[in-house]
Amino acid sequence: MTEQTATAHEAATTPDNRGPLAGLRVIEYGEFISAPYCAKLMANLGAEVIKIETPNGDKARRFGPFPDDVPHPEKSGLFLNLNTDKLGVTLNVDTATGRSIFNQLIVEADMLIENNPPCRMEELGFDFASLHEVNPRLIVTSITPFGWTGPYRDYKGHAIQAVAGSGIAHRTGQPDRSPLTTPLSQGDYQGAIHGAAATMSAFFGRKVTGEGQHVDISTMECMGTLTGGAGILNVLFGTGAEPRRAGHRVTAYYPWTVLPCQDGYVEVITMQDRHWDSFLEAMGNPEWGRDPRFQDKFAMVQHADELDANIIPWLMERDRRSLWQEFRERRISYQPVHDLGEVIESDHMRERGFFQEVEHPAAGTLKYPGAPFKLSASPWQIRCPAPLLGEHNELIYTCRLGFDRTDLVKLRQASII
Amino acid sequence: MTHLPLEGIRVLDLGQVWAGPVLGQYLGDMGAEVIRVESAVRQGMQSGARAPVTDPKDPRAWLAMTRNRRSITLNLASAEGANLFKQLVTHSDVLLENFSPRAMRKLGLDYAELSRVNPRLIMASLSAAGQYGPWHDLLTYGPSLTALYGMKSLLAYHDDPAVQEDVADLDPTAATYAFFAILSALEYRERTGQGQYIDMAQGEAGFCSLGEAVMDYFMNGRIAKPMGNRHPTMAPHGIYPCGSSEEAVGDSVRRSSSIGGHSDSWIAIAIETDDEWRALCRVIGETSLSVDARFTDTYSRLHHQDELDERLSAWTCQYSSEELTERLQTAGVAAFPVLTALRIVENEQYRARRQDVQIAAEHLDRDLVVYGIPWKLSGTPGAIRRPVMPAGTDNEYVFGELLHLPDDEIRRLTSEQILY
Repeated sequence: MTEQTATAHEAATTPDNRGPLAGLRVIEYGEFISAPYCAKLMANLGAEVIKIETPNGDKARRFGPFPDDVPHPEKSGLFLNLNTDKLGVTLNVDTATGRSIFNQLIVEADMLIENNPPCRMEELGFDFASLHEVNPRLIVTSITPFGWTGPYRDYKGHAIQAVAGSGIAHRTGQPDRSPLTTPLSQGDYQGAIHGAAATMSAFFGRKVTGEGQHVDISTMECMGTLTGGAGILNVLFGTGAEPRRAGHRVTAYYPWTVLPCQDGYVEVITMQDRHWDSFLEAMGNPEWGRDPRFQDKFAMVQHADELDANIIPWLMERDRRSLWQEFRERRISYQPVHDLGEVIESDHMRERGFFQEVEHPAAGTLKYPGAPFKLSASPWQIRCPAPLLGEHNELIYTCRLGFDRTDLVKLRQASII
Repeated sequence: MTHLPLEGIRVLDLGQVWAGPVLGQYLGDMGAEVIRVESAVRQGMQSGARAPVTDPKDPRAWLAMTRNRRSITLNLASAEGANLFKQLVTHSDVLLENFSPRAMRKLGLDYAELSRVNPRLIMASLSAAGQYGPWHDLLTYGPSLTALYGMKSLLAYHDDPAVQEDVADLDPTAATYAFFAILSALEYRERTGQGQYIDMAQGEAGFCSLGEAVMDYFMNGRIAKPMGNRHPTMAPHGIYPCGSSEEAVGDSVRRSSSIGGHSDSWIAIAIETDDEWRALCRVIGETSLSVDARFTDTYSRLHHQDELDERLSAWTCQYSSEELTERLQTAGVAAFPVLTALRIVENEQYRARRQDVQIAAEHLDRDLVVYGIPWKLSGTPGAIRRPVMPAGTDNEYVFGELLHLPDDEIRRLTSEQILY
């Protein structure tokens, strides 16, 4: 190794606390989950994010959970988690002065991340074409349920509509009951993750072209990626078969199912035949296992109910812990269905240092979820808690934009900030 | 010529199964030169790895994710193959792999070794539970990983604890996060000249989308329970039955969407504000409903969801989901049909946004229709430039032009099953 590369390697293993995105300037004008989580992903990697809230605050502040279930706008768990490492300002863009201040903030920024209805952005003069005139290098990332184009552009939607339109809901749940949406607000989170990926793509695009651009994210389309294109591939490949929901199993082969045991549920899935053989061994090689109808997993699915009835009594005599031990020892791909408490308290999450303690002036010291990736040289990190409502008004409006303190009073009196 | 955001970036792609190939797809769609390193030695692994389609015997969906790639064959298990791989690393910016955690070390190709060869290298390893920790060597597939990380414990109806199977896997989510992390690392490298290692844990990618439930645990010690289609602050919020559609896209849809003689057609409706509730009541046309004290505000509605859902279902089932969606959206109510795969293919919104595209596959009997680029960039949208190619198509370009190996050397390596 040359001296130069040795130094470089040493430097590469020395964490840079500023994060890989240090120097990027992001404005967030959005609320609840999608735009805030998108901007948080960038903030925790070192980008400067100025979060613009209405004087009433992000609606996530009213969502909770709250410590001891006592609602407080500075103590919402959803808000606290999604807004770490941001500077917070309030701004009423329904006033002309408010819009002019918005444009002043935009002039300085690399990116705007927002999740407002397209027509609302157009009314305000905040559509990409207008903002592009203010700052030609600005990247505008819009996260909406259905995207900025197409006939449903102005449709209203929440996570449940995104899941409904993605093809996932129709395939989830019991065949004789309604389709089931995915837990919590997956559509919004997916919009955020794709938004961050796409914003960085646009940023690299700007290095090539010198120009900003509009990044248009539909949460419905993002959900669609989770089944490899909404399950459409299968249809388009010409089998024509519509994937159907089948409750506790998927009917592509057997077993691919979640089954009850003594104290909960376990996932029983056999992609490779070896796992099924080992499972039968764990069960003491019951005679039914040699039934000629049960020798091929694609044929076995025709007898899924019968096979369930053979397996479930054995599972019901055992709890998840003992089953898991059995699965691990035999190198079987089956896993217990953990509840969130079990995951949070697991040795695994502790050893990975997944949770980070953050001190917040109103909510106190709490643990927060980390990031799903670990960067060796420029780690992900929460450096500051979520901002209080309007916490950085003075910093941004006086130091950054040059208003003097008496202006600030007037802006407050006029309900602009 | 249209510019591509990642032009000039070279990627070595050791992606297997699903997460890795999707990540390679994103990098390729955005303009990186992505070289897939394949091998007949590993083929068993790939054919055993099932594509995310209902017929898992069909490998074509997996192939669809390998568009926009150069393809080489290289036996990494041979010393000479591993050596050639290291030479490729010196010419590359990014390496992605999603083998099980020990595999790269066994090949002598872990980050410690490769960063000595090329300190500017960004290496991303995607695994189920990360490269270290007590779960790192567990064997999981998508559905067992959502079980392990708690997502599945929340997938049940609000009135029945039976856990349902999930079809939304974590592989693509891990790929999207990893793509973001790689681009962030490239930006860091521009500033500092240093590469780095990315340890991406797929289970954690799913777990991160449960943030508010995790906060509730830390704040109140509460363990989240399934809510089915219900919501903590919205009511009504659910999926309601509809009549059969006049606009169904074909006979196959009508046949497949009927269970036990009933139409399997549904609409998702969510009411966030009292104004939206009154708008819904107006569309229903029952003034008695909007003044019913059980339903006047969100608090009351959250407490009377069973009655609410019953009333709503009795109304929705008289109409098609398309008709209702249009009427409700016109009134300012969030509503959308539950689309089946076939209806997605025909859907005007998906079509208008070109969310599925057709590409050629030279060695297959037909073209592949694949999922488009999941984000729309106005300036540098990326492109699907190259169809799916057979393994080894680019051996000459990579080993001849990039590594400057003479033809007879390439022939020798081929006959000795190194380029294999």
